[in-house]
Amino acid sequence: MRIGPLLAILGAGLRRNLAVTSAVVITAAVCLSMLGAGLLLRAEVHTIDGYLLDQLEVVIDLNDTITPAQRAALIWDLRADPDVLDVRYETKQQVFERFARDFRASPDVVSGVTAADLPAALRLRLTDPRAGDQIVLEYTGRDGVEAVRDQRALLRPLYRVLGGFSVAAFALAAVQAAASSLLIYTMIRVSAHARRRETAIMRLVGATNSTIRAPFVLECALSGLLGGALAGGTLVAAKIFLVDRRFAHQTMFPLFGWDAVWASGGAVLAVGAVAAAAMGSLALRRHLHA
Amino acid sequence: MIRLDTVTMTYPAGTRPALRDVTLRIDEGEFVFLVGPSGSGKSTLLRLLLREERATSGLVTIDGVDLAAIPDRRVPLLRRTIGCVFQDFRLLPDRTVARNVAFALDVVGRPRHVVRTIVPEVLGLVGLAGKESRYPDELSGGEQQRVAVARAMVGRPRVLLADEPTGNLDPATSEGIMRLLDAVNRTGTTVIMATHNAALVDARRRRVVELADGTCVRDERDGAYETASKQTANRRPPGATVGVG
Repeated sequence: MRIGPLLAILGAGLRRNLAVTSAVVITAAVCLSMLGAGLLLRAEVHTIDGYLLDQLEVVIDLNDTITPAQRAALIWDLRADPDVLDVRYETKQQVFERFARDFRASPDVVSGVTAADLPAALRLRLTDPRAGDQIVLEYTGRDGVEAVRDQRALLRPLYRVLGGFSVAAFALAAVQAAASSLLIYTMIRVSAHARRRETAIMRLVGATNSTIRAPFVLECALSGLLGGALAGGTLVAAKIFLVDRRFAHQTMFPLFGWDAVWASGGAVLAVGAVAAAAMGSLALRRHLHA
Repeated sequence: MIRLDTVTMTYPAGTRPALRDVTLRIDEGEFVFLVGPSGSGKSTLLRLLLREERATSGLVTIDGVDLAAIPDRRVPLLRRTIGCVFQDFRLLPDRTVARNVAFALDVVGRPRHVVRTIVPEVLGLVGLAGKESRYPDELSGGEQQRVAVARAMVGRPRVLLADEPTGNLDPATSEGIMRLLDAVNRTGTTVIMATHNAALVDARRRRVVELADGTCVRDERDGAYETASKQTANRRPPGATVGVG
């Protein structure tokens, strides 16, 4: 069918079905906003990871009793380990200097500690910063080793919270998706009924099945797309008003950038249009006999 | 052109066949009246020709093509060669006369310049020139049926099926529609018209095929509209009387 007549049928259908179509658009918008929020939370985890990973190290605190031979053997083993990129030895004095630097904002803390109180350490950079667990297991309990600390483990609670929020967002999105699907099903039923005379004539004069279905599927895709656009707008608004204006002043962690917003926005638009069209086609099988 | 060979059609929910062993041959360019009481199988026969149903047994062919063998996705192509007119007109109330007729071309993807030339032409042929932008509810029944005929003819089908096209019209208007179908037939289009309108049939003396209870009880050149019982009673050979003596 030519685009003009197709749009005419589509327009007539949308006008006739305005109430149900609006309901579909609204639920789809809520559903897709949730989906987008989940995607942004994941993006945030990536952002924090990417920002901190090259600063995160595994630290091996050494016993004060360690012999130079034990230390040399330990460093030798670490250098031979394929997981370890780089090994640096820090004396007690160097560790203290780092400590003093890290806590320069709290002179009270620094003044109560001397270099002798702190263990000398080996600082490791790993080929894969996420593989810290392995190193911790392998070197804990070695002669002269007091403790092995993976700094990334400190971030775990944060990751758990962010991960939890994103799962919750996806779950809400799934519930809304179910509601949207039912609404689309109803929309198609109402629409197929309202247009039964039109579709009967189309069939009679030899329109193909895809031509008869096209306006219905387009109606669904358009509703999904509109819902996606609203959801995208919500994400942009959230980025501007919530993330940039509010969170940025409250946290020292880096926050996801506009690229993540565009990616999530694009994803919800595509998911909205495609999923709604697919659901519509499915409902058509039930309500529009060929 | 159209052949039915011992066609029997039983609907899934039906207990007795809607058509039983019907054999019929209709040549290109013929005009055939299909008569018989309600429920005698006229509409079923038309539905078989449109491939809305498939025969339970027997063969329905158009130009040698077995309709039952046409795959579903090719059925639209078959229907483009067949025009249909119904008792209830089946026009779209929210479209003008011209848009109603153009609809048949639009949905099969004909280009706009074709639609723009053919539609006014066909509307002129059916006598509706000047009423292009009226809506169906602004027209009389006869005019609405003319729109339906225009829509059926606009795709230049080879066969026109008319299912009681004058059923809702007064005698004078019916005569007008009948003349229109005659004109369509004269252009070479095969016309099959199911009807209860005895006056129209008797006035024309065309081929009449009569169905009763799903069987073809009469197929007459230059026939008249007569009831099946009269015909069978008149023709029944003496020995064939059913009953206990």
